[in-house]
Amino acid sequence: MDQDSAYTREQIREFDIVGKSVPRVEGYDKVTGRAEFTDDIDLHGMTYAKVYCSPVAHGIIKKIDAGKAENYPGVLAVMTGKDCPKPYSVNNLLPTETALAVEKVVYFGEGIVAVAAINEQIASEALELVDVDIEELEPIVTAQEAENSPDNLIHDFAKNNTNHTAEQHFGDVDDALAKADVVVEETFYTSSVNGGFIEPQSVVADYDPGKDKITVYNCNQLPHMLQHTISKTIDMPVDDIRVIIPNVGGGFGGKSEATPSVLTACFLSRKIGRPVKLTYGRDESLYQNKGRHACHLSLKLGFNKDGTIQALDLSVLLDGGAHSGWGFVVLWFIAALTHLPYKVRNIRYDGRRVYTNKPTPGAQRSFGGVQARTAVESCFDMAAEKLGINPYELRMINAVETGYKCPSVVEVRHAEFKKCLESVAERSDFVNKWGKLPRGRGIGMAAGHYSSGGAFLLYNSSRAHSTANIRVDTEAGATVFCGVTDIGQGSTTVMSQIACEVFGIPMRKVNFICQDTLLSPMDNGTMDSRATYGAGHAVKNAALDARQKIFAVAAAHLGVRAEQLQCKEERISSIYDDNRFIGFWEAVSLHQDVKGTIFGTGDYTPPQPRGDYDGKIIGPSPAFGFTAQIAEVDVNLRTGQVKVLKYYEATDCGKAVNPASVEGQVEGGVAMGLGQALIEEIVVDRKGRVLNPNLHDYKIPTTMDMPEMDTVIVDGYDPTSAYGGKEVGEAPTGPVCAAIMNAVYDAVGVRLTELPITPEKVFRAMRGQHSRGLELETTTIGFANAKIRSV
Amino acid sequence: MYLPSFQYLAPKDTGELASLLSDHGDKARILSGGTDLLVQMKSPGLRPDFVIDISGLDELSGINFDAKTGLVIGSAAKLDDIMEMPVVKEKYFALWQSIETIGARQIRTMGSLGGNICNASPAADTPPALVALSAEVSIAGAKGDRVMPVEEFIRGNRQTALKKGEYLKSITLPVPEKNSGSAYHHFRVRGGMEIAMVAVAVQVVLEKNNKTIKDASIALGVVGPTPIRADDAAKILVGQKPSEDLLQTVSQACADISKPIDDFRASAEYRKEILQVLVEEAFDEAYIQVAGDSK
Ligand SMILES: Cc1cc2nc3c(=O)[nH]c(=O)nc-3n(C[C@H](O)[C@H](O)[C@H](O)COP(=O)(O)OP(=O)(O)OC[C@H]3O[C@@H](n4cnc5c(N)ncnc54)[C@H](O)[C@@H]3O)c2cc1C
Repeated sequence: MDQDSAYTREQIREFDIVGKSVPRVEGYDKVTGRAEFTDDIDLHGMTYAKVYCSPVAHGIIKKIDAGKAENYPGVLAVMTGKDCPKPYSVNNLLPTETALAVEKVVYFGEGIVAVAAINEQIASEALELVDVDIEELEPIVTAQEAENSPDNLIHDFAKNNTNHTAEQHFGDVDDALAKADVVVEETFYTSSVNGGFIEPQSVVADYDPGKDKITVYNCNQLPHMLQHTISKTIDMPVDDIRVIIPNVGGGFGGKSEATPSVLTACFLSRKIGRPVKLTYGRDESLYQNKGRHACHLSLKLGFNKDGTIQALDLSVLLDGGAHSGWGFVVLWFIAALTHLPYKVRNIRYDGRRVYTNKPTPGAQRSFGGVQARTAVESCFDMAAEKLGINPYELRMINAVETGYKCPSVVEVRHAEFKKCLESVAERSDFVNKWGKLPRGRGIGMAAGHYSSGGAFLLYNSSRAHSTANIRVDTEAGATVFCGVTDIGQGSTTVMSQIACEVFGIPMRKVNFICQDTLLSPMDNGTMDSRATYGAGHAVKNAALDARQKIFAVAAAHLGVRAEQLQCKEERISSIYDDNRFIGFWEAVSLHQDVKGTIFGTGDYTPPQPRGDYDGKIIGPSPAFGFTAQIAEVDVNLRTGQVKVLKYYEATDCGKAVNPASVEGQVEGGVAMGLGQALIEEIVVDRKGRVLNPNLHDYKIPTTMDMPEMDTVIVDGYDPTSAYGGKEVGEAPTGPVCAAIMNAVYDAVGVRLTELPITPEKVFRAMRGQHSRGLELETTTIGFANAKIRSV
Repeated sequence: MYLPSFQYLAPKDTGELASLLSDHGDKARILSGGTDLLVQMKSPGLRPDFVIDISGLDELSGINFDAKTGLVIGSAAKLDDIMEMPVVKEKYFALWQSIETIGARQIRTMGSLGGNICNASPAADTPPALVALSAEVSIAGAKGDRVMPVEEFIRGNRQTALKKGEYLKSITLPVPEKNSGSAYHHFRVRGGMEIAMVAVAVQVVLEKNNKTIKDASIALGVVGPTPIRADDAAKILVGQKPSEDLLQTVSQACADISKPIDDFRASAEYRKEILQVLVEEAFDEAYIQVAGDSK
């Protein structure tokens, strides 16, 4: 019998702990400073590594003289790229990254030499004695240059510096556009931004010469993938590598791949037989980046007079920086994310990702989403104006609903998207305000969605996506072993809530053991907003498996059929007669006496839709979260400065397992989007040097920049999910730039299309001047100058 | 992020401070709140052998107002303590505003006015306000004290008039004339923890019972390596009643003498545009303090 006997309660969706804002399990430690992060780790015999960072973005390493550093008192080892030359990449696609540069430098700040010493100061002083002779090559600093420099290749194998291309076509876009009543087209540039996590990447590698095994402590989102990367580059079997993830000070996707520092530390530790710590400064963290891809987009949308969308034609050029990273996935994700949240049947996508001598971007929160939403949501507003339909109405006309099947294999099994649109429009009085506020004041709307984990795995693809094991006994309570990583988003708390709900026990009775490859079973990791949905399923299944064993004992004891039992308030009782009960722990004890400790196991793999077309493995998901947003702004007519006064958001995350955490995700997601909209950008000069590798010049928003937030979780329950919940970590970041850009248009009548919309850009736009800047040479990749055209 | 090793010294009084400074000369750095110094020491470059902590010296931490001599602020006085003095908000509003914008509460609790001046960053907030309020600094050293206006003390980007063995003792702001008001306005792209891109401080004195301007001073910040005292522009105001045309002439004159940099944060041209807006806004605010309403 594997039926959930609390079935009746679940059907009426009445829960004791799921749906409650229980405090974060790790909250006390984080607030009081007890929480240990990677850089806090202090092992016996610890040594410290520092890296010599390249002063040029593109060049040939002619000579490295590290003799003086090697002899510097206190230095234990010196390492160069040749010591650890095996290239790696995410999923092994076009591997080019190495622990340290081998022969060639391809981005500013790339590591060339590393030293390990008895303390940080000695390591730094030793680096000052290193002499590196680099023959500088012409750096490629824009995506356009990359495509137009056939004789200047960053990687020899990559013709025209192309990293990946992607094409998709559903329906007949040309025909649909020709027949459409209204066509809008525009080009956009979304900037390169960084996650700005508060904890720069840090690693401690501890090689054990006696066992010939290594333990690696690193703030990483995907411990099991990290194991594979380390195994491949330093030539050790996967099972000899134990990865432990201490507390993580934010990831936002930027920590979902190996930094070169991890491999450097592993190599050095194995060389000297002592633990090695390597912590990046903020500058190094920004050189490594793995933030959001800068992207040039050209978009055409076609509509009928009644507002129904007919076609979407998008071409994009992604600035990929020096390496592949998650770029392949981001490129396809933009394609996938344009299919929703509107019912469009004719879709064409043409995407290219090119190498440049710049920090490599990766899979930052709402990856692909910010780029797609910025273009699509801006064009929706342009179309609304042309059609004479309120932007809110236009979105409602085209919004997807539960059961919608895209022309691709993507299927929306649950959606409360329309409720989100209605909620923000009503709360903000959007329909009455839009187009009617005084000059300088504006209101703008945008919407979006995100997947709750891909249907297909990118690595270890034959495995379950998530697995959980549970041990229940009176010695430790209920102990869950699960591979999911809490990077601050609260997965440990949510997973614990799910286990508590199944057992009917309070939070303090659950231990959650995760983030350690020795103890936790394989998990696909924290990315793509998959933890609550994917790992949540696995934890629930494991708990049900264990509970079934406890019920068997309780059933015999009570003389009640097991499937008629329920768990609540640490009691197991008959669903028909609450007085026939046994204490939960008493039943556990009975089981232990008779059959020993209770173990349960469970896993989860999403349904994998059939169908075949290029890029199919990216996009399908078992569940999608939705968001609708409205920004109210003030634009200073003299300086061009945009101030967001109020922000409305409505989220469909199904059932909010922990509403306070959901609110945190929404507000944090909006803050991240607001930063990109207004102030954030990694600036690279003509020589490929990062001009703002610090949090003084790379500006993430402060609380002072945040508007008053009015957020609502709309009523919803996704029946395909463990307890009705789906993603909320990424969707809210996607539409923010567009909402603000639409509001600025409403305020001053100019449409900004290049991020970030700095005061100077708005100022110039209001005066009809074009922006200037290094990255601002916009391209016409698809179409000539944007115009609204009525057919 | 580590601090390189150094020897920490904490003199008991200014006498000991002077002798430590003369002993160690260039090898020593004064530590007041450390909010600039420690940040700089953590990045390559600044590696003093001795760090001399003055934060415990009462002699340098006083804030005293006298109706005749004015406001005397010890160089190590904390920014937050200065802000808390009612007289500062009352009589030296531009200074109060310039401090209020610095960093966040934690920074103002640690940071000192002397540190803000001696650090001599072109983007520092208080110097333009101090210049517009005609503040002077007292420098102490083995050879005796020297006094000079703030605009002479700050010599360039990270350069001051301090000579070997000298330290900044205090800052004196004269008592403002009757019927005067002041304001500090700055432009920044982020709402908090942010330094100014352009800043302007204005002090105006009006004729008694009249709206005519008797005297004015204007200081421009972040549009050159040091604060610029825009005396010629300020003179245009004297004897006039404010009008939009007049202010435009004045703000244009300020823009003409400014020398903003042109970098990735903003173009020089745009900075000049902003400067003009700020001159007009700061003047308006200072003027309203005295006249009660706008022009
Ligand atoms: C997060 C952050 C935000 C900040 N925001 C702002 C801002 O918005 N606006 C702004 O203007 N500044 C800002 N600062 C800079 C800094 O806080 C101020 O300049 C502060 O006033 C410095 O004072 P301090 O006492 O900490 O100086 P310290 O760091 O102790 O000293 C600064 C320099 O002055 C020298 N010095 C100090 N006192 C004396 C003295 N009596 N005689 C001779 N030399 C002396 C020191 O040797 C050192 O070179 C910020 C700093 C941080 C870290």
